[in-house]
Amino acid sequence: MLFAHGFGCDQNMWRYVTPAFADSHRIVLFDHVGAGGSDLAAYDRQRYSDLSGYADDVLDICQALDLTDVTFVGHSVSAMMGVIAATREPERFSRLVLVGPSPRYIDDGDYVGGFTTEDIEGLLESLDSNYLGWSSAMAPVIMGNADRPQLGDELTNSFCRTDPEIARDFARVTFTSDNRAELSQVRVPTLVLQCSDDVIAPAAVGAYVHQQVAGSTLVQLAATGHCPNLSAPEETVSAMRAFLDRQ
Amino acid sequence: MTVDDPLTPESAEDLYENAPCGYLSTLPDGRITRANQTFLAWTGYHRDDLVGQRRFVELLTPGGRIYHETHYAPLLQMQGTVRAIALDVVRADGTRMPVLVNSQLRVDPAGTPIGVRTTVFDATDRRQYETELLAARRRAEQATSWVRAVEQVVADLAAVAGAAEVSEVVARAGTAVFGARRSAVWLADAGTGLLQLVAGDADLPAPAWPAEVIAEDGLVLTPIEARGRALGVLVLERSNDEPLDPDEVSLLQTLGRQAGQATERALLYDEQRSVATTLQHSLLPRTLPTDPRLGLSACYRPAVEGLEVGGDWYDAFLLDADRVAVVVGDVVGRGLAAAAAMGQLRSAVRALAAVDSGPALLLARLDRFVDGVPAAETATLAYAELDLRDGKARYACAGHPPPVLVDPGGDAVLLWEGRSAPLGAHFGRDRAEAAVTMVPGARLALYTDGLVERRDEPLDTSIDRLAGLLGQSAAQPLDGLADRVTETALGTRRTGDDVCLLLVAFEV
Repeated sequence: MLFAHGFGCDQNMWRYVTPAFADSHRIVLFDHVGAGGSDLAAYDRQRYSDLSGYADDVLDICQALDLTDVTFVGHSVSAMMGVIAATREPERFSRLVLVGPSPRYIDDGDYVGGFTTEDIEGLLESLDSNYLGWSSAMAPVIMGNADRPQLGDELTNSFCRTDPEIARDFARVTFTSDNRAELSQVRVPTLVLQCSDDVIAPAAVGAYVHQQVAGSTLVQLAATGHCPNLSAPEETVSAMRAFLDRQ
Repeated sequence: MTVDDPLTPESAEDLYENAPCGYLSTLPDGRITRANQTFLAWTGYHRDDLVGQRRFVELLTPGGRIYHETHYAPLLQMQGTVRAIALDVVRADGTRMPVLVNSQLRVDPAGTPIGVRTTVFDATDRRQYETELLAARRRAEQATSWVRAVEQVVADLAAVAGAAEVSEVVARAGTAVFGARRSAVWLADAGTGLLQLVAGDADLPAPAWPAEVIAEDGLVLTPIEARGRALGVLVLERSNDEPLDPDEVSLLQTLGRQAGQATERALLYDEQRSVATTLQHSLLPRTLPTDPRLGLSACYRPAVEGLEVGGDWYDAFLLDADRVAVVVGDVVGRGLAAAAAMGQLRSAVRALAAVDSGPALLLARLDRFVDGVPAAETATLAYAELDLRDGKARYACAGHPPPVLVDPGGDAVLLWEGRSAPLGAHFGRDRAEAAVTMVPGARLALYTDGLVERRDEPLDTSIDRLAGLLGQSAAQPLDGLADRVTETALGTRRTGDDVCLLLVAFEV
């Protein structure tokens, strides 16, 4: 099982979920470039100018570890990275688990993504406000100590360690992405986990994903918010397990 | 322990309701269970609007909601606490209130979350200050990146020579440095003085002469000027039509000045190059002598763009009814001076060559001639006289690569005899000459070193390669042959030198 965290935090997002599958599966976790313990030098604005660059990273991981029969579990924007990766190399993947997926965040005609372009600019402002204190002085301390995680842990908000500049790019790429066309190309058994009252991926978006991915399973969770893997890990795990047992 | 003023004791409720910060209590999913009076007063909500009705995330701006869901909520669940998160609360009247938020997760004895306590601080002034700081830092970073970019433009400008190339660099700089969507450079035409498009986007509207950097109708016009003289205009198309800030004006002025200096230099260069090229071509023979016993094919290529013309020349003229003189030479140096010296030498060869003197004597006379023409000193040349009655040829080389004699069967030999030093460097000794007989159908090739010189191999090897090439072409018709051989010899190589090849065929 390959777990991909979404925009905001790092692989710690999966800490309450992965133990449930550790006995039955090989667990692979990673941090996206710019997040957590990743190598910032690997960041290339061109490569990561859309989600396909991140999807290539997923495929690179599969190749480097020689993974097959992969159950890809992607949260938020990473769900769409899994969709792209699975349409590129379907033979590698046996299942997709999409947690709070959204193929497009910005409204477009009849399609309701939930946000406007101005909203996304507001997010970038919000990021700026929150990174202001340490964007130049603290970033190396916060980001540059992958070998000494205890140092990072002592710092505020250490599970959402992201390089400010990369986070800004990632936010823009994420929330301006449009991968609706890829959904219908998915040929892998797919589970869509939809939260209640999710402001980032509203129920209508989850229903859209379910409708576009042929043969997919949609599970409506009682969990509220956008991170059921943190707020309701038991419910999340049991929905995933039911899907894995069936497929 | 607490110490209360006995006259006005503090109540716990008053401490909570009228604390100098907003208090919110919510369920783990964010639904508001309590809000203090301070928060209600700041935001304009009634208690009933919030308690049991709204989740905290719903009070935020859309951008803030995303931040809440992607950063704040996960952190709270993982760490149990978050500190100093900057968000905007939307008040009841729709206005925004910048706040700093601290939250603490409440858990029961078993560790299960049962609620969240949040304090909210009004950060209006602080946010304003931070926004200004951020803007100042962005400006500083922008200025630094502009300085670097302008340095790069200056380096790029120094690396090109002509006005067209300079304008290309300036147009590219407009998009790369200033971030314009499209750009164009217009320069004053040398004749009419009217602006003409030289580089960039042809679809941008033609500019009028701007007196200074101006922005209008989505376009920014920057004068390109040097020493107070207007040379042209840089036209940039922007994605917005906001007024330029002083930093941008200053950047564009710098760009305009750098472009002006480079353009002035480039225009001068173009003028000189054009004069030199014209002069050089005017000095080459317009027509070659015709005789049924004689075939001639010549190829002359001036040095490629970016360098000034050199001083190569060739010539062929009849000494009398039965004898033809052929010469290929190379004046050291470049530009106008070299072209002028070449012209004088060419005339001198024609004037001093005579039926009865022969190559060696001609070189001796040329030695005396170049004594008075410094630019012609150390010129090299190959000279031959062919008798059209019997194919006998006399030749001499003054510091010049050896002629190649090709017989009709394709055997090519280098004529290494009759050699002496370049003109003006022979110091009184007699000049050497040699003789050879051309069989009917044989060809003699004279050329300059631009045809054979290669950086990556010795000159001997290059000359042998040319001889081989000429041997292979022995059966080909003479018409256009010099061009074809030159083409093959140079291949894709761009030479910075003039190239000259003269083929002489004894046709009987």
